[in-house]
Amino acid sequence: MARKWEKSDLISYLYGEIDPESKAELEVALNEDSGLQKDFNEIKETRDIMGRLGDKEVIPPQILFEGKESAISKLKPYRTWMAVAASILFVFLVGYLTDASIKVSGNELTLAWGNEDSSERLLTREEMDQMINEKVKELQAGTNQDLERRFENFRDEVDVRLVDLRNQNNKEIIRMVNNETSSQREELNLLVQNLKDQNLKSIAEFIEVNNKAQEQNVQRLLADFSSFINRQRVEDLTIIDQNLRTLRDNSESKFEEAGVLLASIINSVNSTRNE
Amino acid sequence: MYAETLLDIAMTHADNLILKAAKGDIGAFNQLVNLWYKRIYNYALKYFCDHDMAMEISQKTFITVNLKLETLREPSKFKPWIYRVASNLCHEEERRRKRTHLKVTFDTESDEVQNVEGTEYNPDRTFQQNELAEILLDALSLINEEQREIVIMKEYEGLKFIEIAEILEISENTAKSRLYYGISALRKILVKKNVTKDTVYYG
Repeated sequence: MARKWEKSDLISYLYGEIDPESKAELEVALNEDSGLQKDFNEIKETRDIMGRLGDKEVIPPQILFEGKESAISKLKPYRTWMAVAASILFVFLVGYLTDASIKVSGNELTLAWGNEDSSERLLTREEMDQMINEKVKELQAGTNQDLERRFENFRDEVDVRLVDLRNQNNKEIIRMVNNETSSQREELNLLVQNLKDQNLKSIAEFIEVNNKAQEQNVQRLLADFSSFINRQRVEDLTIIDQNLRTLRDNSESKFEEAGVLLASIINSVNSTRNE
Repeated sequence: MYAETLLDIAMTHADNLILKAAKGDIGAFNQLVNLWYKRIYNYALKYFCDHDMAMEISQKTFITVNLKLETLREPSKFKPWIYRVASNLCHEEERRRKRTHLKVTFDTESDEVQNVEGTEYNPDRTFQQNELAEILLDALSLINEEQREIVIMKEYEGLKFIEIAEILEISENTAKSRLYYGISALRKILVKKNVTKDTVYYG
């Protein structure tokens, strides 16, 4: 009685996982049974086509987990020195890659990355002095103009008042001269004295007003300059803080990478030595 | 097709490495990753037809391996063990994906092939553009999940039926039957796409 061949038998034969006895029997059956032969050829052809689908290349990521005994922990005695060396190397590398420059002049420390950018770089001492001088000159010019304007107004007012007084005095003097009395002479002297007193008082007021205006302008100038310096200082500190944070972050990540690379190298060396 | 290379030889003689990695040796574990990453990645890539998903499954697989390797008693069982880990992660991800969107698959017990998007292939043009791999990957993604994983394990990962049966906790005969139906389903899809022996080899 002929054996009934299952689909699983065809698959076993196709993949070469069939015992020799069954293999021989199946080969005979395939020669005799065209239906079985067709079935087998179809799955074989499909397998051949699917076999053209190869592997895709992929780079395994460097995976590190905390273990009972890590490669890095074996190097504990040398760890500090390796860390220092790696840090120095890293600093040079980062400096080279980012075009970093460190300048010290007088009491000033300047850290810079990349090409100079006029919109973001820190000001030098000379530039800061120049900027302050320009600001002071600008304020002085404003103050002088203000004072000149006030002085001109005041002078105009004094002129008008003096003209009025002179007209009045002239009229009074003419009237008194015409009367030619002794009492009138005394009155004239008194009037002249009053005029002198008023003039002195006006001049004193002018000087006082002028002094107050100058004092206010100087105080405003000092306040502006102080706030300008404070604002500039805060901006400089913010930029320095940002740069230091960036440097620290880069240092940490590069330090980790350096550790991973060193561990990998040491593992390879150890493996080679063991072999 | 699975071919034995130096890498394959190293993978099959890695008992010492597995023992070291199980004891927490990071270096040994990294070497295991280097040996097996490509296989697991390609397994997941053929399973999902998606590079990102393959990378995710590969990384999850090695995280699980790292956590559970010390529970593996026999280093010689590492190969089916790691495929079981990857297979379970693929099943888990497949279930999650099915909850979010419906997927068209082939009913292999039926003679009728369902409609598949993009069946109007011109094999000549397609082959000239080196897109055969994409067509075959696409065909794989269209068959039943149970059949697909056995096709991948047998055809591309070179596992023996006894190993597949152990990984999937089924009988060898069931594994062979699923493989037969999987290949039959693939044949229907390929015929529908005009991908045959003639067009592949002489097109």
